[in-house]
Amino acid sequence: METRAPTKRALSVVQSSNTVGFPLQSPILQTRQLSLWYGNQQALDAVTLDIPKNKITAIIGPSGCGKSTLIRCFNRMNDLVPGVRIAGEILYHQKNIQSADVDPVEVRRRIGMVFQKPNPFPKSIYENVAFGLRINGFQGKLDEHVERALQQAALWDEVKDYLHKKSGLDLSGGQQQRLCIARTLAIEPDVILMDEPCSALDPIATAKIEDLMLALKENYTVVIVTHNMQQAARVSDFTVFMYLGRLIEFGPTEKIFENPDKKETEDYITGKFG
Amino acid sequence: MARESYQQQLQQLTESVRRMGEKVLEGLDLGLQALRESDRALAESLDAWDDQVDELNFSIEKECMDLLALQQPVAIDLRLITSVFKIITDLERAADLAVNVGQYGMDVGVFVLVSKEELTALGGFAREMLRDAVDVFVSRDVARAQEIIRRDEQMDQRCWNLRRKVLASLLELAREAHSPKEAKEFVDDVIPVLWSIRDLERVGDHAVNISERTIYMVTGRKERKKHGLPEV
Repeated sequence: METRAPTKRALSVVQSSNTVGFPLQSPILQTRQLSLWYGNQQALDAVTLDIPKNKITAIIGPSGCGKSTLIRCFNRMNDLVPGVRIAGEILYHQKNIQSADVDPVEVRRRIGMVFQKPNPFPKSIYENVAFGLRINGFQGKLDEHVERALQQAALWDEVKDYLHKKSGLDLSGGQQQRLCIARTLAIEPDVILMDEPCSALDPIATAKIEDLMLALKENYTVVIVTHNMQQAARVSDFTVFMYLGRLIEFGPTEKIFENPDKKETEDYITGKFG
Repeated sequence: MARESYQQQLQQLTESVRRMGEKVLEGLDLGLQALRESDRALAESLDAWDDQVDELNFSIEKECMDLLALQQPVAIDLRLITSVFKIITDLERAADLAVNVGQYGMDVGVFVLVSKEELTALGGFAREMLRDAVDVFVSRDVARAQEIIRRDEQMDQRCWNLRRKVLASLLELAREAHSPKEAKEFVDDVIPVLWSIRDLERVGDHAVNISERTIYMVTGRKERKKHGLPEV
């Protein structure tokens, strides 16, 4: 029987896959050969990746490497960008979220997102957290849910006396970001995506968000995009290194930062480029 | 407290060093017992124990690497980690010396030149210094660390005195020897005795190193033992 040599592309996909190198149990999110174009510009190139459940996965890489594009694929945020074309699969609990029968609003309810700049609504602290519950037609005990979300976001003690008196905009930058996290947690998602959540915060506020991430992974899966490699090292269990739209290496964070397999990864984390 | 998980890892690192210290002290006790009782089986069993100490050394080294690579430690945290790197080397070497001490006891002739009581008393003194040094590292007690450094002068003096005594008894025995062959046997016996004294002295030196590192870790100051000659 004739066997064909694998093409260069097929090889690069195999090498960049996380399915070799270490066993990964219970992935909650997966991409299979995921490519994405903004018009003619390719931003992701055949990314195959498994995101483990109840872990923190950090995506690092130089500007323009596709890390924000990738994280935005996980809750179909790229649907909102004109001219986007996607090939390959994005699986959530094995289900392709790109399928026509999947409601993107439901995807975003299950896979919440926190952005670079805190974006509270110009409403009271309470209403900020209750907002998502109200628009989802929540019928239960709203006060309890709001309190629980603020507790989980480690903000309750600081705001419990001003829930209705202060606007979300009256809080400090770090508190606003935790309020946004509480708003995401209130609707009880499965996965929290964080796109540079600390880039607008000072070191103390950053430490609080990082502590919060570590506490959240008990119950949630966290995927974080960060420019700050030290942050990725401090908080994450797994790290993805991306370059020019390709997944170069994925592995346990200590492996990536102490003994990466790929030269590109080593050059990037040691500051030789990027 | 901010960065709680990182703080827990630092506490864990101190705990790992304490456990390694305990392990080394256990082995030193066994080495001294093997020496005292000239117990060959016990002395030989120390190799396996030494492998366990080496494993602990590697695993603590890995803890330090993880903290350095992943947590960007600074100030006292950085001094803790760099100190631990050095301290575990001192402990690992003290463990090697404990193995040696056990092996010297295989040569029963050793105790012709020195009494078992004197040699094991010296071992006890060295052991106490090492135990206190590990305690001091855990408790960050600078004053006690300084006391251990001073105590090493007594250790050095004891070693010096014992060496003089061994050499004096060697001369006496050699003079009274009935044949050159018998005199040579006494000379052969002196080697393991002198080595055992030297190795126990080195255990004390490692205790001093650990104490000096602890002072540096807590204060950021390097405090070195002042070396004087023993009194003759």
